[in-house]
Amino acid sequence: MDYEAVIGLEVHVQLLTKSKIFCGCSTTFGGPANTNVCPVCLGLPGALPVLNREAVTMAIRAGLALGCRINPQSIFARKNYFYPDLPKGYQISMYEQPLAQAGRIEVRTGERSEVGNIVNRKRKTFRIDRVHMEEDAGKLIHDGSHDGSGRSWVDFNRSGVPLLEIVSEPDFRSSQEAYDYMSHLRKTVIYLGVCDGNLEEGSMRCDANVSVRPRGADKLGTKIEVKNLNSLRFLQKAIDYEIQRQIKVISEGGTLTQETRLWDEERSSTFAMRSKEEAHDYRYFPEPDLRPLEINEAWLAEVQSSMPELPDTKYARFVSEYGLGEGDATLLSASPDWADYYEATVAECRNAKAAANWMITELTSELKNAGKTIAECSVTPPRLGELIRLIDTGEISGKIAKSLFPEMFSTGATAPVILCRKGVSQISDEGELSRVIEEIVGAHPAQVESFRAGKSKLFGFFVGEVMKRTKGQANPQKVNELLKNSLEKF
Amino acid sequence: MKVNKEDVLKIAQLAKLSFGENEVDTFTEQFQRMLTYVETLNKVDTTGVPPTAHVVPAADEGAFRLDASTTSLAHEDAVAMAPDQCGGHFGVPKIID
Repeated sequence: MDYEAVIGLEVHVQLLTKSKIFCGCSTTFGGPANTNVCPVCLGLPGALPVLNREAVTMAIRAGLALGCRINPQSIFARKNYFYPDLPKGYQISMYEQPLAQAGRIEVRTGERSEVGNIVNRKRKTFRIDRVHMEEDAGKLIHDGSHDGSGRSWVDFNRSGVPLLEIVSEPDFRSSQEAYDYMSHLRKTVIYLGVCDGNLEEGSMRCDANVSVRPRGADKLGTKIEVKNLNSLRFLQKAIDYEIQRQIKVISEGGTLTQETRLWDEERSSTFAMRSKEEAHDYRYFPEPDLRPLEINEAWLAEVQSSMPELPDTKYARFVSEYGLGEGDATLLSASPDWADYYEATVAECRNAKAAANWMITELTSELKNAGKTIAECSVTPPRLGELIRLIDTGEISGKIAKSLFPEMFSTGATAPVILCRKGVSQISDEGELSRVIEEIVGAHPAQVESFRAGKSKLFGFFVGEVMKRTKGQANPQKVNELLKNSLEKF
Repeated sequence: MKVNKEDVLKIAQLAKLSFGENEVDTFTEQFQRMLTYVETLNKVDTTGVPPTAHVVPAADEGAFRLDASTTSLAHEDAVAMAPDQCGGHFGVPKIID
């Protein structure tokens, strides 16, 4: 039988506020355990939560970017369960009245062929069920030792960091669609400045609900939740694995039970969590310590007016305004850092194509070798722009520019400074170049003969000889001009 | 609403509590009495009254905190009352997942 997969994603996004959602503790990571904690985020008796306004603003921004309706009133609710990383015994979340609902986003997606490339590219709309705010839990560290001490350790620095939960409708039919949606979402929250989008470090977390059914059937199959997907690749692999596993169970006459499974990267498979699912009954009720959240027209307008250009709009503009191809436009609009760098470079050199080429080739390769991000790059857009301008005005050749770039990158010096230091300067002096050209023309009478007889391709040969003699330092435009004169003199 | 022993055992499990057989009977009876008491509220006519999530009005500007980080607890104070701690962490019974 032919089966189809039905997949929905629940994505948690850590908001980039300075302080936590309900208290003033810092959201900075990497500090010693339990140093950014207070009575509120430790759940000590009597402590009361006060909502961080900026967290709400960021949540609205995300809701708008995902095409959602922002509810004029939303209500915080207590989600009750016991786990040592949850000090109060409940998580403050939203339940019946979430912040935003009924969104839709258009994603560029396609199908993955058997050899792994993407075919049948298309745009597909995926629906968002809801977006709500909640607080993050602490972090558990499991004792690696097997000495029978039998303890786990809790760090509450993360407890109370604001989270957005973005729940999609079950609209994905393949792991590729889920991958493209997730990567679109990641790009969007980075552009909005509401999250750093780091899946490996957990600033973005994703759970997938996967089921299969005979193709064409209306009824959904048994839903399996898959967790521990801390990279886009794991998400894709785990969904693929889960689809195949479920099809196998069903086609062999077995039945699936609703459960939560974890992705095990080492074994490339999922396994069932041992927790008792039947014990989950969150007993949601409105949080009495927080008043309903009202988002009025003024607040909404304030957020709307500060919305940045979103990745897809930027992509389309890069294609139309700078004449970039799809591939280049995708790469350069991948993050706001790259897009801003690109636009600043173009503003400097007025050469959109060259700026794109330099960024995609030289700059990318230097960044990769140095293990740096573009934000840490010592070659700033004005400096790259200056380098490109030097080529365009014929002051240096492209070859010399390329030879300068690694040093610009490692030392942070500008192109003219390095040129000066190295004693590399372009030979633009007509007298000197003419002397070299006359020598070369004189030394190759046969080639001169053929050229004059119409073999115009030989022009390149003469240019090459001049460059060889001048160690690539001759001004290419001058060489072309003088060589042309010299060869056509007779 | 009728409360039976299974309801009490389910709630005990969710609350991570365990009781002896006699205690379960006692709680079943007490739960029943509480629910009967609360059910008195059902006699109130609420036709046309919208459900409410909170007794005070929705949040206005004064109900928010600005996004500025304040001083947290001193680390020693944060873990001072913990019965089990090590290296600045709170110790809890081993969690197996």
